Amino acid sequence: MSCWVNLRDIAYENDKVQLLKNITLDLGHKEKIAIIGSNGSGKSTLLKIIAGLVAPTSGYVEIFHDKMNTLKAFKKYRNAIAYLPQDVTNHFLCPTVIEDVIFSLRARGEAQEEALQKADRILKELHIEHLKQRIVFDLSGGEQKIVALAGLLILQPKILLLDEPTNALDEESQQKIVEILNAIDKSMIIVSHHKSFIEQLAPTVYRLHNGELCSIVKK
Amino acid sequence: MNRESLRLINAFLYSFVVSFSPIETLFILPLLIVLLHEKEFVWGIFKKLIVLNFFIIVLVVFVLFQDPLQAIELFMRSNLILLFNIALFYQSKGYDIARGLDRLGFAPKIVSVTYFALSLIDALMRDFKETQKSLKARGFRANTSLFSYQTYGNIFGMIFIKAIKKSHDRELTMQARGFKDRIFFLTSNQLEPFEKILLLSIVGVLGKVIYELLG
Ligand SMILES: Nc1ncnc2c1ncn2[C@@H]1O[C@H](COP(=O)(O)OP(=O)(O)O)[C@@H](O)[C@H]1O
Ligand SMILES: [Mg+2]
Repeated sequence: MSCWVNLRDIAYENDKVQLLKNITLDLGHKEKIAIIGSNGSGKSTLLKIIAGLVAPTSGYVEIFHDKMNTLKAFKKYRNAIAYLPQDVTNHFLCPTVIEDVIFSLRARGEAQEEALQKADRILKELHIEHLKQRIVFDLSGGEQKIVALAGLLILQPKILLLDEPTNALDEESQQKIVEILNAIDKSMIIVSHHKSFIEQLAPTVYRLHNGELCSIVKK
Repeated sequence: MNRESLRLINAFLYSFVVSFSPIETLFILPLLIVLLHEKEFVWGIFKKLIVLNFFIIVLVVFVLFQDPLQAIELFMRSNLILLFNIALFYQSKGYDIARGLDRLGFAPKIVSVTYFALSLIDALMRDFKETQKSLKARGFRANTSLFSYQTYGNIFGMIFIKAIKKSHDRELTMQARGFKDRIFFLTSNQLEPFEKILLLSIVGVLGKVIYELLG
């Protein structure tokens, strides 16, 4: 199985605190991996490093076997990597659902008409057509997460990096997200702090503890 | 030209006329038109006006000791302008100001910076309201004790730090989502007669002011 993301000996230091060390991880084609860990263990930081938003202190990330030496190097894979931040409200760049969902397509130069057609399809797929004209900040937490996912999926990324896609959601919304993610056949790294939910999603679960990553379940 | 841009022009024009020309009874006309249009929300609009008046009154009291007449004028002008703008944008949850600037052909960077600033303020206000709720839930009562000031001081400090963190995180989003100093609005809002009538009334007021200045 070819690997699409490889982490090689990643370490990250923040204010002289060693937050991450010796992190080596391979994400295969259409593989789903989960990372759990307590608050402040560095999960979000690790995901930002994989997304090419934060530079590791040492070690490196490979995307499609291409070694990323700088954050700039990630630029050509921006469309292939989708990143969902922990606080979903930080994801939104436009006021209405439809405007935000088509944002990335428009930003890379696609015409409005085409972008709108693609958006219609994806909104239908995720059963959120009725939210189309709503202001993103007025939606419930669960709706916001699904809208954000729509904005990522519209680019047809190869790799999804999701930071706590179900945090602060009620049971029902959590289940909805699990169903959506289960139906997506792509490489994925999902960060969470509850294990029960994550086991429904990913066969491989790692725990981030004291800065190191250890595999805990392998089915 | 669409609804948001004409609204913005109306707001600029009215504020300009009211700030710089001698006080006129006629100033009330455009104001009445807006209030009539937003009549279901009049109570909410005035509530906002009253809150903002706390700031105005401080200013007015300052001037009052030097020039009572000017103080009254200042009070009237600022309230006219505020009331007009609050009423005009009261329902504008879609960030009509940024939309308006976009339609008027302002540089993409100005439009996106305006929008991000507005939405950041919005996010912090939401946060503040949530914090206030939880303070209430935990039995906090605002009074003039040192403890109250301290609590509010802490909250404002926290909001300040959150603002920094939030804007940093949003910067990361911009990178991740391919933002290049431009956001894209869909413009479906057509012109309504209301905006045109409003513009006419403001131009009318302006005409009268100019006529009297010249005559
Ligand atoms: N921008 C930052 N500057 C300084 N410290 C940070 C920053 N971001 C996170 N941290 C710190 O790094 C640690 C790990 O944070 P994070 O990666 O968000 O953990 P998790 O997502 O597992 O809760 C925390 O102790 C946090 O306070
Ligand atoms: Mg986190």
